[in-house]
Amino acid sequence: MKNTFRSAVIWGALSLGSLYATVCSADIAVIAHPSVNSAQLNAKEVRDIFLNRSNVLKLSQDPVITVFDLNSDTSKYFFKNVMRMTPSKFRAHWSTQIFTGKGVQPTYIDNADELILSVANTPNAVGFVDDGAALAGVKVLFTIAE
Amino acid sequence: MRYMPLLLSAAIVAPAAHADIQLNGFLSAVGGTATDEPIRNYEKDFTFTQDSIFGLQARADLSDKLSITGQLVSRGKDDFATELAWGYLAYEASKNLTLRMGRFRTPFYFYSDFLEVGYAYPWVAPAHEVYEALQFDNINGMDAIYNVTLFNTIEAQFQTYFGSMDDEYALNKSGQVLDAQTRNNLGLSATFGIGDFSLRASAHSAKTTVHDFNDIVLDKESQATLASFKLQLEQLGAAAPTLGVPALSQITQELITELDLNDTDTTFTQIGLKYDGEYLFGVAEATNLDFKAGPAADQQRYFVSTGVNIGSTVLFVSYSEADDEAVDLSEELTVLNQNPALAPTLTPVIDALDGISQALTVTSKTTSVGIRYDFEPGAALKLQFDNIDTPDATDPTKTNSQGLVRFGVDLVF
Repeated sequence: MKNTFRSAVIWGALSLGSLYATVCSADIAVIAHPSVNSAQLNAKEVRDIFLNRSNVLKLSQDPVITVFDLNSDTSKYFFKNVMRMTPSKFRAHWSTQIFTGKGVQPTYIDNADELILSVANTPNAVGFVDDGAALAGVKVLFTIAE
Repeated sequence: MRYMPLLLSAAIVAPAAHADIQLNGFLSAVGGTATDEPIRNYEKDFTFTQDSIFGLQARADLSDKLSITGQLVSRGKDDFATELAWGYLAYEASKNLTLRMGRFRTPFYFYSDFLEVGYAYPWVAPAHEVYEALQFDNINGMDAIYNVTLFNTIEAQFQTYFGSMDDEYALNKSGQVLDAQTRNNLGLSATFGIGDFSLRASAHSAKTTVHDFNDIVLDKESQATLASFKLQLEQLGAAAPTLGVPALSQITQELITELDLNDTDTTFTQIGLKYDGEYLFGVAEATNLDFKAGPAADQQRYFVSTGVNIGSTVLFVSYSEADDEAVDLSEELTVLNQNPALAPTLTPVIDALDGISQALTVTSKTTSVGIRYDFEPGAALKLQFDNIDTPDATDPTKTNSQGLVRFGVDLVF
């Protein structure tokens, strides 16, 4: 019963996300593996997740941060408007996490469809992607109009 | 590192499916030239050695909770000899608590954890006066790191460690390398992050021994060592009755005892504040290193730095200062020296004692300007100019200004 309810919520969230995607075609979406049980996020929470700062998602393990090609326009827009930093500064921040053992290197994926597939198949994965691509099998936690 | 073979074999025997190995690396290639006289290991010709570093880190997750991390680092200043900088076993006891054992970075400073990862900060190297004070970067021991969010806004991290260290110690002025060790190292650090601000304070204690302290060369030309000077003091003490100053015997004995670092209680404290915003950054950090006995100065160091981020470019200015308080070794002899009959005997001894305390004291001020340009994610170009003011060796009221230009590339992968 509980499971049915949960999948209903997940599928609800998914189809809402997809609906939103069809309405605004040029959005950037923060997506997560369907098992990530989280309400919609605000920009600060997205920043905290992507910078490995606090356990916003209340996961039992660190989220698997999945990042779209840093040289792409999508990334530049996402980092400017959501992360409030350059992709380089993001790399610099992550070098402090990796070389202190605090975090595991984010996964960098250059192809939107591959990124969605990876997030959909990796428990605890969180990523961002231009939602021109079909957001199948993932949960949308945040969107920003490009 | 006794643990390492064990850790390595653990990694090798672990089934591949469980040992998910991540490799990361960093590189700094830095060239520089002293514009006036040679300074801080740079010459008047361009050299590419002092600040060049290559590091490789491997981390293997043996289970959800257990991981091992090893870091190999080659430093130009050590002739690129490869050292196992880190090698530790980490156990994630809970989401908030990590326990580690092995060899890891001593958490002395704000930038300790990524001291050698040039890509992580804007400067070519962190402020010399502050970050060169200790030289002991890594420790062998165990620690606990606790992360917690307070009042839903403050990201707090507490770290405490216990361990020991054996390392080489280079004297600031002569560059002579001594064999040093610390025991019963104990420390605590606390970092609080609120939005773009962070505050860090730490306190450390240890018992410091320098084995070959008596081999310190006091005079470059004659190669006279501290041991031979102590012999002179013995002779002076023995001559006390002849000179008609019985107190001299005790004073020289005290000096002989004081001119040593053997199991000496040592404390180090640090406080720092940092702001790292979208367009601006600023950091200030102050440290104090204090030896409870012996001739080494009370080291007081601080630096401030600020800069602007303009797209992929960072422009920064920094100021750092070493204002060490020398130990007054000659105080009692100076009183006796007021007797004109003793002056010819005591003056050279007093000069030598003052020379020793000065050799263990640093006074310098560095003003820096520089630029960092991120030419692509993971790679940055840097250029920095330092103006270094130090007191003139012959006339301490005069200041010598010297320049240092450095440029380099920092990479992470």
